[in-house]
Amino acid sequence: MPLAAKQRLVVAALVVLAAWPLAHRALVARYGLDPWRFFGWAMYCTPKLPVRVALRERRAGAVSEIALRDLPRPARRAASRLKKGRALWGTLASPAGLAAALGASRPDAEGFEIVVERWFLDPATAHIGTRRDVYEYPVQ
Amino acid sequence: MTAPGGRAARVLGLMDPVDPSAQDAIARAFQLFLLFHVAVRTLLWAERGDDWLVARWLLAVVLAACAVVAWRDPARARAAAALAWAVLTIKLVASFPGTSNHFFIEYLCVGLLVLCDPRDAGERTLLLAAARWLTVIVFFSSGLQKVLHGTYFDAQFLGFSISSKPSFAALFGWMVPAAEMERLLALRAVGPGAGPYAIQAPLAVMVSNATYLFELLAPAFLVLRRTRHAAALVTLAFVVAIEAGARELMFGALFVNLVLLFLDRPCNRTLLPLWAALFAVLIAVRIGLLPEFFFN
Repeated sequence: MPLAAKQRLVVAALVVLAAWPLAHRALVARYGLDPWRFFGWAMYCTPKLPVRVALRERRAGAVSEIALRDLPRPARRAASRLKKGRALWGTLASPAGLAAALGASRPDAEGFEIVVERWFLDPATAHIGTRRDVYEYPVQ
Repeated sequence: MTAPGGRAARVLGLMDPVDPSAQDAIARAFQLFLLFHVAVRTLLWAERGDDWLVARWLLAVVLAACAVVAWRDPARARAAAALAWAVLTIKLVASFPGTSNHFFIEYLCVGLLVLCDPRDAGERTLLLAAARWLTVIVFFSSGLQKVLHGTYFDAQFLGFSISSKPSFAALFGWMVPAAEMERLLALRAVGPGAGPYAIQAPLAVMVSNATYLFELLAPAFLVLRRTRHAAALVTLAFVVAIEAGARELMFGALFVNLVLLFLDRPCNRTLLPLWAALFAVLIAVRIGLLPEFFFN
């Protein structure tokens, strides 16, 4: 490859490198992507805080909590995958896989609720805020 | 000098050195540092792994061999870099999306070693100009992200870090009066609603804001030839202070070597034995030959 072509390639790559952090910030704000990942140079901008997953089922019209320890291994693994996925990919990590695992492990349930709670350091208040996403999966 | 003509050449030419006489030595030292750096990082990664151990160690051994070949046989250094880059590509694919940003800088830099032949004057100039541009872009972006996330204006992130990490409290606690330190430490049990993590102490707020301001402004002074050397020395002090405090020794070594590229003298070559010693110490710590201490 001639030098001039290499120069153009390098400059094109540098332009992408320079522009990407703005797109990264937008994705973090919109979907909750992990700011410490995905090469946006946003390390040390926000603390790494937990993601919590709570599970509920509906039976005979009543809603009750499901303890993770009461689930079979495939469902526990799915819950763990969702937690890790949410920490990295934010709302792009779908709870559908966990819902399917719950349905398989508890076929008598009328439906499930998956609550994903993510903590964050709110820059406006300097307090720990939470974002809750609630997903309902009625059993067909 | 960068080849004349073309917008790309002009942009890259902004990073041409004032005195190009030592660029050969600088490029060679950068090449060696980088290949040994990725080999040692992968060794440490293999040592702390708990799965795919054979594959991890194999990658580490191949990278170590690439570094040694590049060192002993400069004519084969670019081929060794190409093999190292292939290994790093495997590591990138295997680790994504959990890949660290540090790794990505290594990956891009080794990619430059593959793209550019440091023995050719024009390509050597391209290699070093690209590495310098990468450095200022990463530095500036880091400052920009701190502004966009908004957690440095009232030292919120610093307050949270002091509250939750003893190493941060030890490093930055001197900026915070005792009463406020007590308040922050009482917030150690993090939970929804906990706070406020903003710091009132003027010195801490000043240092917090100075951090991103420096990251935003230093790149301009690194680009300008008139201020480049002074800016490089100040940036070195800044990077060493932050990375030593955060115990990010490997990333610190990498970024120091990138900043050293802004000096016209081959200081990076002079410091190669220091990095060799550091790498040996870190390996010795990990395999238990030296007392354990935490580092990234």
